[in-house]
Amino acid sequence: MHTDTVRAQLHRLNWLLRARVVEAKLRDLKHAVKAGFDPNQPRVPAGSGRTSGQWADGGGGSGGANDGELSPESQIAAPKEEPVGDPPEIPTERPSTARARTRVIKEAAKWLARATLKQTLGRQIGTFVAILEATGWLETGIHYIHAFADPPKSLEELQKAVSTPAIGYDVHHIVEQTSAEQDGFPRSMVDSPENLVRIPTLKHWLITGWYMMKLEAYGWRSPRNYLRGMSWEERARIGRDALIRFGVLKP
Amino acid sequence: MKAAKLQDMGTEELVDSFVNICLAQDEALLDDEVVKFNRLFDKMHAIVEELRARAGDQRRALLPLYKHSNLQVRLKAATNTFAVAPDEAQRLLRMIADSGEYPQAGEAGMTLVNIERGIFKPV
Repeated sequence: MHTDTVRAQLHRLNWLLRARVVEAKLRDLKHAVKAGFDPNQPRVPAGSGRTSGQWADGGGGSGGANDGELSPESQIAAPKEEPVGDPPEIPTERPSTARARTRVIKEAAKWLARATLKQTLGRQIGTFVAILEATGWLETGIHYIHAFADPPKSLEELQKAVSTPAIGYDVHHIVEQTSAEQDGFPRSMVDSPENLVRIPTLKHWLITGWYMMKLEAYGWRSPRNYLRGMSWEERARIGRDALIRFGVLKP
Repeated sequence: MKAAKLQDMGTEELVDSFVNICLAQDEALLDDEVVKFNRLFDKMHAIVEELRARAGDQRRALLPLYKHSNLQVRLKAATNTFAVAPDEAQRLLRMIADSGEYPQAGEAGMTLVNIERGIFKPV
């Protein structure tokens, strides 16, 4: 297909998606007016990450919700379900740096996975996927995005898939390989079929990152440091729990 | 962040710093910058310890952050107030764990697992 034709179609798809977002916002606004909408309710300021521009739950101000009285439990909001929000903008031109391209792929993957999980945005999902598939510079990135939205699978399914490499997926060690080897576990255990699963690459990155992050729940250490000197069984238990909590393995 | 400097700061200032650190953590996570994240985590830890040491355990000043617009701020506020508001913190962590918004959903889920197993005993 001619490049100009593809670009024209991409622009049209982007326009259609934006139109549907506007349509949804108007519908929300109509409901909000009926429900006693307050036009003075503050918005999340720019620079607040992925929620910039959305309605704040009150409070507002530069620091978020900590303005005013710092009274205790009475100020705790009843938690609300996380909104899926609008799909991220997909640039028609290829971003110039690998980091910027990876960010686009990750944001797209996260939105698609959440929208699929919530199953409330059927038409938007279809349009968004069409935009992704028509975006030439994404190339193999589309496989990573689709893989990220995979539903959780059984351990057997994940283990069996190891013998079938695919773009968008990595072979993941349930018990982390490097630290296990450093603690004296033989390579035969580390690379045993029971310890290997094929999972979406972007989830693999997330879980590997999580092992390296300092966390309160491990005594202000990283899970990797916490596990040093631990038994194989404890490592495997945490490895399986992580796969479940990151939406890869069925509970 | 030097302890002496933290001691000179008002509670509201500490809460503001906590928020800014969490927002920076969120950015670091988007770019897989673990070293940067961990550096920010150490600063956050120092702030939480300073709040805990204040009369009446001023970690309560983090409770209004349950309403913050940024998910990373809400996650860290819930985790670091578990000792002072366990029911509310658990409810928020459960909601984040079920949100499908990664990596925060994964971290929230693992925090709950660690509490259930007694690996994490918030004090």
